[in-house]
Amino acid sequence: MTREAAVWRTLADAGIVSGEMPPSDARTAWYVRALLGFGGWLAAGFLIAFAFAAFAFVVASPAAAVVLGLGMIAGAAKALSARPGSPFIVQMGLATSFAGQALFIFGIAETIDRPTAAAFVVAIFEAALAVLVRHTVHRFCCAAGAGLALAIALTLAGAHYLSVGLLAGMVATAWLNEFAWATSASTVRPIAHGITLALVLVQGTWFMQLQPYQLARFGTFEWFPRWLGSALPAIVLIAVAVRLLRRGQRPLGDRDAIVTIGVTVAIGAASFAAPGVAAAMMVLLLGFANGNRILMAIGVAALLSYVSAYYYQLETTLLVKSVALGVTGFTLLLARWTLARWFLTDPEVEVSGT
Amino acid sequence: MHVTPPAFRTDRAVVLAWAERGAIPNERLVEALAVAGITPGAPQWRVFLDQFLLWCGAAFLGAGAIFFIASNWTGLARYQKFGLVEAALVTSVIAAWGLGIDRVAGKAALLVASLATGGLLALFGQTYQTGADTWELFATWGALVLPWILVARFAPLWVLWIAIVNLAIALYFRSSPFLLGIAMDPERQAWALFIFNTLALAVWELLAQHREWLDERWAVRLLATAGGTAITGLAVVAVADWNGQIIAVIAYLAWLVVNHLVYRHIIVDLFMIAGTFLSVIVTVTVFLATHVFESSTAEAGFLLTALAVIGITAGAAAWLRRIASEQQP
Repeated sequence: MTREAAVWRTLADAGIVSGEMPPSDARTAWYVRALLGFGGWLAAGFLIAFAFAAFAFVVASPAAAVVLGLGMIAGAAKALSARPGSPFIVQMGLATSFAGQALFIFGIAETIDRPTAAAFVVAIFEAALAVLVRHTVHRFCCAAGAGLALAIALTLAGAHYLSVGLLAGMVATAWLNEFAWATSASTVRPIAHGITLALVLVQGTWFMQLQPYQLARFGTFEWFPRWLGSALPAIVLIAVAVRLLRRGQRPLGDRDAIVTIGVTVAIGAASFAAPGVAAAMMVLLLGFANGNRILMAIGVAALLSYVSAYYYQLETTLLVKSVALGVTGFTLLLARWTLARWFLTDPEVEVSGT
Repeated sequence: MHVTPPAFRTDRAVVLAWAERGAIPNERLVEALAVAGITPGAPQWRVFLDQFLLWCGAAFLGAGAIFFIASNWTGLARYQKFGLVEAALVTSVIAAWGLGIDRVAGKAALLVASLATGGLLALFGQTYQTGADTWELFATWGALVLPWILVARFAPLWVLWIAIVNLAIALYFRSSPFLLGIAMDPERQAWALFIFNTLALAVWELLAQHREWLDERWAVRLLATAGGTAITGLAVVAVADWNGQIIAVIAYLAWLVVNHLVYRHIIVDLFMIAGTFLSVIVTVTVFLATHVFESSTAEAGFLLTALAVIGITAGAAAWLRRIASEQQP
């Protein structure tokens, strides 16, 4: 009996499914999809260079760049929607669409005077492509592009500190509803992964963390309070913990639920000065809750990359950062000790490996 | 009751694909995932939270200590700083000894001790301005923590040790150009990193056959990525600026063939084969980008390179899917 058949039998025995097992689809591993995406972007770079070299009017007229870009995307969308598509045509479609998007962004940035408005237009456009074009790698890349464009737009609009919290909220919404939206999984999942990548890039890379300084030449007034921006990821983390307890049908007045929420609040409060910690932990938590190992790996990578990017952040001194990390670490170990004491009172559970 | 980890793997994709087709009613999907062992139950949650809090706590404490040393705070006298770091080191070693290194908490304590050792060395260099090169700090750090790594029998600690050695090697070749001169430096560095990481990969794969605690695919994939990046860098330099680097080309071709044969037929791991294809795409692209333009116009060069990248990527994807379909039962 194959593994799939064994799973089907388990579900049938539980009365959840009946009849014959549906035929299985060919599945593509994440690293093959990553290879396709990388190849697509690399080829797109040369296609853009070709467009600029071969069609001088593209450089001269931003409107022409927008029109040519849209035409390339439309053609690519048709190729990507074909079932089953030839690998070459699909890869050609990916590269053409990415090149078309770059031309569109170039044209929009040149046409619209206000950079903030241009960034918002790009974010909306990328989000629309993520939904409309039926290809997993394309959806993933466009969702990530939309998330990054949104973060840049918020920074230009004076709300830099809102971006991590807002993206964390979107990531949480997408993954918490993954099962409720299961009939649209081939649309939802790549988009959820794409926004997650955008969140990790925004919160965990020095480039994005230095945005306010790099973009200072635009003279933007930062109106969104920094303290609120720091609190938002922690609030989202607590909300995720509450939703997961509800999914597990734990009443919120239950002993375990109170301890879990208490620990989450403590982690959120301890990591207040390092808000990327809460966002990365949320990704890890959602990955475990949904049985998604890739998401868990992204969460671990986000934690590591945030701590290294945090070192270079200019807003606080290294001494404050060392205290923030030390207090967070101490809180986590204290929480573990508390949970271990608590759960040891449950005679049915033997926590192995501790 | 013994707690087993959730199934993960491909079961998740299978069940979600059935749900998307409507074979599983939407209102029963959460139940189906739980019954199939894909999403965790209460016991798995408890183990996860326990380990999550332990490892994150230990890592943040270690990182906090390193940040503290780097801050070079003048509010503390030098002996107080040494006292703090040494206290963290001694406490974590005593904790590891008390908890026992066979337990996860003991291994976490050794992780903190290993990080604190690096912090202590950095503090020593910072305080006394010993004049030593940075690579010596990392080399000494690696040598000092090796006994703990050996006794801990824990894959993540080995990865940390290998990362420390990688840094020592990289910094050594940056600070010691020797007789060959600075121009040769990056290539010597890449050779050293390729040889070290590839040897580490081979030894790890061999030992993992008999030691369950070493059987971690993420770790070997990380090593392969490090070695592959170095040899790809050497190949890229050779094809972009040919200066008689015949040994680099032969080593690169040998690496491609051996990697493909080993991970296709002996230890089946498509990630590794995908990595070799990625390397080929990069190398061929650099070759075309540097040579095609010599004999054609810019437009033709750009278009030809784009089509070549598309062709190789599509071919690689088709090849990988074929291998994957051969592996499925």
